[in-house]
Amino acid sequence: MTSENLSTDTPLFRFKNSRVSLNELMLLDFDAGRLRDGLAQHAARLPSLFRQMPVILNLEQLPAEQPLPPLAELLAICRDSALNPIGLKGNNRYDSALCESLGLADFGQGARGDSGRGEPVAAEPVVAKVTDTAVAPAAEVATPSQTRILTTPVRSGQQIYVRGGDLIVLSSVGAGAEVMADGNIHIYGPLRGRAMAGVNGDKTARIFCQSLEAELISIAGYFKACEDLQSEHWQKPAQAYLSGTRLDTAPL
Amino acid sequence: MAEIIVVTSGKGGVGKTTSSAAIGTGLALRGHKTVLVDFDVGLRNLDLIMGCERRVVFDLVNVINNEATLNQALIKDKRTEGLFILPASQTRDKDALSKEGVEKVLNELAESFDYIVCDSPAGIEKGAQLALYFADTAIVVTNPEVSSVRDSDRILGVLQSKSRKAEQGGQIREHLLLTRYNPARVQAGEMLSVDDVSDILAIPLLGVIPESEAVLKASNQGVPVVLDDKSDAGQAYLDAIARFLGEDREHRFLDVQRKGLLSRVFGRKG
Repeated sequence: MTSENLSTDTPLFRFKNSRVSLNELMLLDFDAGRLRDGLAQHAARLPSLFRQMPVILNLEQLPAEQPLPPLAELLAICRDSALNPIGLKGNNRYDSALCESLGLADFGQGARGDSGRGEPVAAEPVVAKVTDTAVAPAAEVATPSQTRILTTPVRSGQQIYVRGGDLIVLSSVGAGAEVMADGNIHIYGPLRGRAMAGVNGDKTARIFCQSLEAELISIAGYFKACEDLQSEHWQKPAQAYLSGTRLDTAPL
Repeated sequence: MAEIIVVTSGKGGVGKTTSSAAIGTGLALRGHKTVLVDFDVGLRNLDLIMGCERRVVFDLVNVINNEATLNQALIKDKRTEGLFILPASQTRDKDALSKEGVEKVLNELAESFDYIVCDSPAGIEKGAQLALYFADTAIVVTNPEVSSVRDSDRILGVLQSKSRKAEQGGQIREHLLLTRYNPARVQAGEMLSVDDVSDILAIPLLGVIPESEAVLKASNQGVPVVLDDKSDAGQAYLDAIARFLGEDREHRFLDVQRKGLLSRVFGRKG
């Protein structure tokens, strides 16, 4: 979807085809106040994720009969929550000259009818509803080999986020520490802090640990806090996964 | 080149200053030229514990601000050969410290000392960060109690991310010093055990200092507890220093002392 230019020795640049995972903000309806509050809530909950995260604004689901939200205001709301809108998808009503002047790229019509601009956007956006019940921002299929391996303990107050891959911790995750990944989380030691897998909405993500002592575990936004985790798996090797909308734990 | 040791903990009141005094004195007793630097600007305590509070004229902030030379500010310990103290200022606060100023002082100290022991203030803010920034080695002082362990975990994270070693891609050597340990209370389940703490913090154990009346007595008299080598705490610190210098010493004072017949009959002092 983007062409990245890499410098080499003789030519000054060349184009390289690249596939990066991008998130879409799927707008279901527009209400400036609610959208602002909703995004701010998400930003407060996952500050490391929202740190100038590039997003595509997906307009496909906006009711066609309603007036269009003012584009400048929409962008301002996103930027206030530390999102960085880079383009529009499913746009057929905003003026293309206006989009261009605001520096927004056109990502075509998305899944419904790709306008064929040669943009290799993976067309499987997971919906993130910008409402009070929303669970997580949207995701695309992550490219593999984004896995990160940590060999030292994750300490209290540290926050680790692996974008578009799995996180493997060969040591412990301390109380007060926070580990997050778009994919699975494997902890070959005790999990005493918080672990959030499938942060981008991947409901098949799982959390594995050698000793379940977590403050909180969450998969795709569905979470269980310490009190609800005191089952027969507590302080034992365990995994967590989603069954529908219920977060289950099972022995390893 | 001198080795810079920071004695830190995150939490206050766990025994940083007592441990700094004991370790500094212990290193000097072993023949290493050592300076104790009090970074707790505004809450000067180290000079009290070292019993030299009446000899403080100039302090760390004066040296940083070029109001005094290092030699004017350094206080020579009267009891232990090769031991000096650089006191903190009582009238200033941590904002008086700057990274450049601290670096200048430490570089100058490094020319003439083997070990520079930095007594860190509590917390994770500027004062504590400056105390640990230039360190080669950290001694993390922890009490066998959950909040202290949590704060130590936090400060280990800071050591691994905000120190000069970390910024250069290296790693500070980390040691755990467990203080105020009471085996009887551990046995009763009221206190975390050595194993619990080691398991959570996952760094090498330098020593376990038993809760001891000798520590309070030593503080009030201004005599580092290692000089009271009859006391259990003094011996435990000497063991820890020996381990720090690479010797192999078995950990003592981990189990409840069996009471002999006489003490069972005559006293219940534990």
